[in-house]
Amino acid sequence: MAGRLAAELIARGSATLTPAACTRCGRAGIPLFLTPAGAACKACTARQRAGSCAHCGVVKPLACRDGQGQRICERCRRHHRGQRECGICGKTTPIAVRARDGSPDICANCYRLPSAVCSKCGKYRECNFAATSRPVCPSCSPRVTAACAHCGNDRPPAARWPEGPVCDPCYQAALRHRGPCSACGQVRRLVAPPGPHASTCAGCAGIPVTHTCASCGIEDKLYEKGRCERCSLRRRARQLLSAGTGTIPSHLSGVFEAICTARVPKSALNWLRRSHGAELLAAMASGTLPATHEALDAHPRRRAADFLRHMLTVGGVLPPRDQALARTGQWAGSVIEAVQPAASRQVARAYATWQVMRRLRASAGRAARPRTYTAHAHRNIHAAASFLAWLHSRGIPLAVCGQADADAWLATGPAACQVRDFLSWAAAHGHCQHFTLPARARADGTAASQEQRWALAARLLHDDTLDPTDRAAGCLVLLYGQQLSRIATMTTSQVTTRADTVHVCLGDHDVPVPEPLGLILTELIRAGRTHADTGSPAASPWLFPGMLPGQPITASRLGQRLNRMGIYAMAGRRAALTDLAAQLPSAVLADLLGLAPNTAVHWMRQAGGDWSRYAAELAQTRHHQP
Amino acid sequence: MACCPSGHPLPGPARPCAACRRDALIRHAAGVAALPAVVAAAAVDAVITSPAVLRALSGALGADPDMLAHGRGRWPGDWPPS
Repeated sequence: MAGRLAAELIARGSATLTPAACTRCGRAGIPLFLTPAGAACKACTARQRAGSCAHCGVVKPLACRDGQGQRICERCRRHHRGQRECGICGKTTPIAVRARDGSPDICANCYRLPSAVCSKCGKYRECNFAATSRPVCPSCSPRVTAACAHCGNDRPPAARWPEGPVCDPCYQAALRHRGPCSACGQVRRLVAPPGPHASTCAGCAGIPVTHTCASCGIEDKLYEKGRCERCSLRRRARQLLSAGTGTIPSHLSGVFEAICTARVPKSALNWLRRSHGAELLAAMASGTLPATHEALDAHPRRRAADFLRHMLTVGGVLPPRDQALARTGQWAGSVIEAVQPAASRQVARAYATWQVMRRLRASAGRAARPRTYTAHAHRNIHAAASFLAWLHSRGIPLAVCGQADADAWLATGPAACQVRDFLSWAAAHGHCQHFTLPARARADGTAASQEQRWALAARLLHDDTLDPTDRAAGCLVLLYGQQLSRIATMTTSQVTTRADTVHVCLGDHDVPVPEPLGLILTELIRAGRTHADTGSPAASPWLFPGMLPGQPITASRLGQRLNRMGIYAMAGRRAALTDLAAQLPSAVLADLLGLAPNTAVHWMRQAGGDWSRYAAELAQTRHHQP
Repeated sequence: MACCPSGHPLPGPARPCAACRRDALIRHAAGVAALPAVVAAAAVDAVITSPAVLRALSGALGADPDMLAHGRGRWPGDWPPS
């Protein structure tokens, strides 16, 4: 009232009075309350009244006293006030709308605003003032903005602190602002002096410590029920995996730890909250879904099931399985089922089983790779099925198919020549006659110019704003001519440091890596990739870990990332290998870069180099005796 | 009818005079704000919505005469609760 009177006097021309303002946040024109530090607004007064809540134990502004006279916070006050059973969700929670005229009580979570056409945006959505002539949706509802005391942007304030209003991004950042306190040296949240340049913790500044986790005591942005994100994640993961019993099955303990040690707890919390994979995991924990590959194969949500499969494999719940091989077998079965007539289907099945898949299994068994390359097998099976369907549409059985029919098929498109493998196999097994089919022409493709290559390499080497993943992968393409599929499956053990020099092993020998590429590689190993997802192991053997737990990034994804930066892997690789082949003999090139000898010779010829006298010249130079 | 020393009629035998309280408030406000009494009276009348408000405001200004100048003071509902 005194403030209102002062405002009225000022409005009527008083030059001696000044508007009363909060001594802490500086806001004027609002009711002020007397505090030991001077007049303060309601929010600042509440902040000064921070204490330990008798119910939740969190130090925060206290709202009132409970029935026993103990002081409690606003959250606990709301939690303990009258609660009834919601007529929609059935939970006993605070009620937003009381039961009336036959409609049940509705809790705050179930209550929805009435829908209307928003008078601002024109969309039909939930609106305030829906019954009036000017409904406004929550997005269009006006919000008071103010200049943020930290960033200066004019945004709705999330809090009003002594330094002034603070917008939501700055508020979140300030709660997470941790560092060594200039007074005590401990790594804590820095709060004083107010503002982005705070250097002292609350304890040393004599300010009540707020927003501390009730479980681990860390000063951080709290997520739920007075707990930080990490403690909330552990609590929710335990809840999910224990199926309400409180005890996690022993075989799922590895998965539990993998979830709890997620690099980004918020991301893992979102995964637990709304992913189908989490639903599957809960079903497995409760025993309603068996923890087997077959059960996951049969699930309709394939991506969620695959993600969970990798998580369970890393956690030791499921045995490792060649997923690409298994997936190709399933895909081949579905493709062959559509082949008509039955005789052709039988031939196609025999081809897929005894030629393509057998070859694929042998290939997978020979070389231990994180992924078996199945694209060629896919193309062969698809070509066989398409060819048989084409014959069927013309009423020609495979047994009587002639060279003219095969030629007509080859004329249908450039991919038709993929049928060569099938027809060779079918002729060898007496299903048809022998055909003369040309091999698919191999195009050499274009190479990036050396100027383009060096410009891109210079950007990758010196632009610190780029992601280390892109920098390292791009340099391996442009400087060492590596294929994306090989880069994607590189392990951290391929990068070593000896005598302050970083070496990378691409073939039989370690290759010294010049700076700053060495720094980029070591930084990549040290920091890892930031987006490793939920359930990924804390330490990955892969230099480029992927999104799937325990798996490296895929070559296609790596290619997409490089394409965004203007790097086209095939053109860049050709340019690099052409340059290197012109400088090195093919044998050295093959050893250093892990190329097949014939491939190295091919690149040498492409580069126009002639190293046929290299050995003789070397012997002569070093005075070797025959 | 009982009157106050200024001649205002009193509503009851034990009740202080509201008109005297308002006059005192106007004088105080005019002095602090350096405004004519008429202008201060208009401001006071805009704020005083009930006798209870007048009593509370008079009490608060009586306890802390500098409240208007400094924008601080103690009035019902102040923290800490007494």
